[in-house]
Parts: sequence; C-alpha cells; structure tokens
Amino acid sequence: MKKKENRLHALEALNTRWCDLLISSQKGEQEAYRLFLGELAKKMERIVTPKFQDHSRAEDVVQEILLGVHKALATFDSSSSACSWVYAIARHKINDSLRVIYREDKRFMGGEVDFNLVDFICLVDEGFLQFEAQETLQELFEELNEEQRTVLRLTKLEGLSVDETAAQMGLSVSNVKVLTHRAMKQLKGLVNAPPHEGAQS
Amino acid sequence: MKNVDSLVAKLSADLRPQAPLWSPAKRSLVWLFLSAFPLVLLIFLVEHQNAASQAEASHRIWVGFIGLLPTLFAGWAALRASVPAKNWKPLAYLSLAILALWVLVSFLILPEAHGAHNPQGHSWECSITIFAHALFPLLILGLLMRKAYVLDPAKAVGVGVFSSVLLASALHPVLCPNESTLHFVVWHLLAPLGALCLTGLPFLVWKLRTKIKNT
Repeated sequence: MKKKENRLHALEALNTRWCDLLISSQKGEQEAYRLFLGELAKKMERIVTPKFQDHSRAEDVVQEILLGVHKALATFDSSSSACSWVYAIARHKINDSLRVIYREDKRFMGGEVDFNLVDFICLVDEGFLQFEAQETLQELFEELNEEQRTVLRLTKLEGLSVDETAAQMGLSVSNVKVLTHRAMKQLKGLVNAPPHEGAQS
Repeated sequence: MKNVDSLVAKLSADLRPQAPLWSPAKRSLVWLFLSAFPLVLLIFLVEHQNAASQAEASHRIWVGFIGLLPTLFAGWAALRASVPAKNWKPLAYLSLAILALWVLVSFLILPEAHGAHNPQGHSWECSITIFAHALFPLLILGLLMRKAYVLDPAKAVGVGVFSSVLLASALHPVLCPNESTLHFVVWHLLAPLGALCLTGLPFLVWKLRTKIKNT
C-alpha cells in the first residue's frame, strides 16, 4: 500500500509541476515550454523505446507525441490533470504507430498499449525507481536482526573493512565474515520471496 | 536522440502565447445559440406567414424546445471528444436517453398520437429539409472544433453530425404542419438515426477489423 501511495504522491507532484509549466507555456514563456518538452521527451523515450525494436521508429513516435502536444497546447485546461492530458495524447500516438506496424507486418504480434496512468508516469522515472528501491531495501533491513543490520551497515553501506568492523563491534574477524555472509543470504532470500501481506503493495 | 532535441528547441522557439480554449460546456452553449438562433428565426418567420393559427403550432413548438435538450448534450459530447483526456461517452449516452424520452413526450404532447394523418403530404421532404438545415450547425461546430485537437476524428465527427442533425430535427416540428406522431418518429427522427448509422458504420467496421487483426 505504501508503494502505491508513494506513486500517487509522485504523480501528484509531477502533475503540479507540469500543470505550472503548461500554464506558463500557454502564456508564451519559451523557457518553461522548453523545460516541459525536454522532460516529456525523456519520459517518452523510456516508454517508447522498449515498445519499438527499431530505434529510428521510436524516435519518430517521440517526435509525433511532441508535435501532438504542441498542436493541442490550447486545449489544456488548468483545472484538469496535466498528466492525464499528456497520457491521452501519448497513448493515442503510440497506438497509432503500432497499428501502422500491424498493417506493414502481419506477423507482428502484440496488442495495443494500455498503460495504467500511475505506472505510465512513475515506472519510467529513474529517480523514482531508485527511491523505491531504497525504500524496499529499508523495509527488508527491518526484517534482519540487530547484529546483521549493524554488520551490513558497516561493511556494505559505510564501506569499513572486516577488521575495522570486527574492532568496532567487538567480535572476531571470522565472526564478522560469517555474520555478513548469513545476513546477505537472508537478504537475498527476502528479495526473492513473494511479497507477503502488509510488506508490499 | 538528436532529432528530438532539435525538435524541442524548434518548438519552444516557435511558441507564441495562446489563450486556453473555452471549456466544452461553454462552447456547446455558444454552438447551440449560434446554430439555433438563425434557424429559429427563419422557422418562425416562415411559420408566421404560413400558420393558420398559432394555437395549432404551439404543440409542435413545445416538441421542438424539448428536443433542444438532447441536442445540447450531443453537441457537448462532440466538443468534449475534440479535447484530449475528456470523457465524452456519458454525455453521448445521456443524449440518447433524453432522445428516447423526447419521443415518449412527443407521443403525449402531439394531439394526433398514433395517427397516420398526413395533411400536406410531408414525408421524405422533411428528412431532406432536416439534412439541409443540419449543415449550418455542423459548420458552426466545425469552426468551434478548429482550434481543438481531435485525437479520434471518426468519433468526434460522428457525434458532431448526430448533434447537428438532431438540432435540425428538433426545430423541424415547428415548420412541419403534420402533427402525426408516426410522421414525426419516422420522418423527423429517421434522419438523425440514419445519419448516426451512416457515420458510425465505417468506424465500427474499421474497429472490428483492427480487433480481428490484433487477435
């Protein structure tokens, strides 16, 4: 549930930001428009490239989306969601291009793209994914015992050597090695385990 | 993606201030006023010259005014369909529901309900007049959609044609002296429904073909 909330927060933050940029763009502020188009292009590249094996075709689709947004700028209504507005144009352009591929190559298998709006906005954002990964790791750390947490923090996060860790924790070097190995093994098991109720969304 | 970067630079350099488009609700009211006013004026002028008595025409005037309600919703749906991320389907369904109610009310209002009385031989002429009258609202709708961004032209044009024909159809009872309900349903409503089928059929065929291709 927490992940879902985080994604919704990210969506809301992006929506506010894009909404401001689009309103400024409608007023003719070129810098705001350049910023918005730049952000949009990067996001679209990450979405479109995996869908189209041909790189130049993916680039064409991103350009189509940008041109569509440019033509539709006057239709943006500040009282509605900027993300939904962009999503509608992008989804239409991507599906349009996929339809062209179906027509050209009848062997091409695959359906129309039907993104979930939240995933569409969040799952392609590197910063957001990194943030989510850190949060997940933090949750998994909580499952380890105190000694294992400390040994992983010192050796893996703070970068201390085994000797330094052993000295700091008052343990033997071999003990630290065993503790680290077991903690890593347990962490690996937790990462690979299917999400249980309450831990993941 | 060098081309994308240069496109971003070009588009932002070409940017000029542009006023946000009026909301579809506001534009649909403008559309209804601009389209209906000249038609109403024309119809009333003709009616004033031709009507034997105003009392006879009053039923038909009521039927016409009630018919403006589904027209407004259909026009609103068409203008919503021309803006990205606006859901137009509930309005289109609402318009169809009110259209059904309109037919029902017409049965109650028109005095010769269920009758096949046809005093002046109006039949297919009414349908043709409705189509001719629909061109003006369609033109206004097209002008109002000009600055919009239509993602799915087939749907937007389909609903637009339907709403325009519906408007002409709503105002036509005032002009037509035939008060037979049968005539009203067959010749006045046949026109918009026929237009709906004609505009919707190619879209349905295309959609079906795409679905078959994808499976």
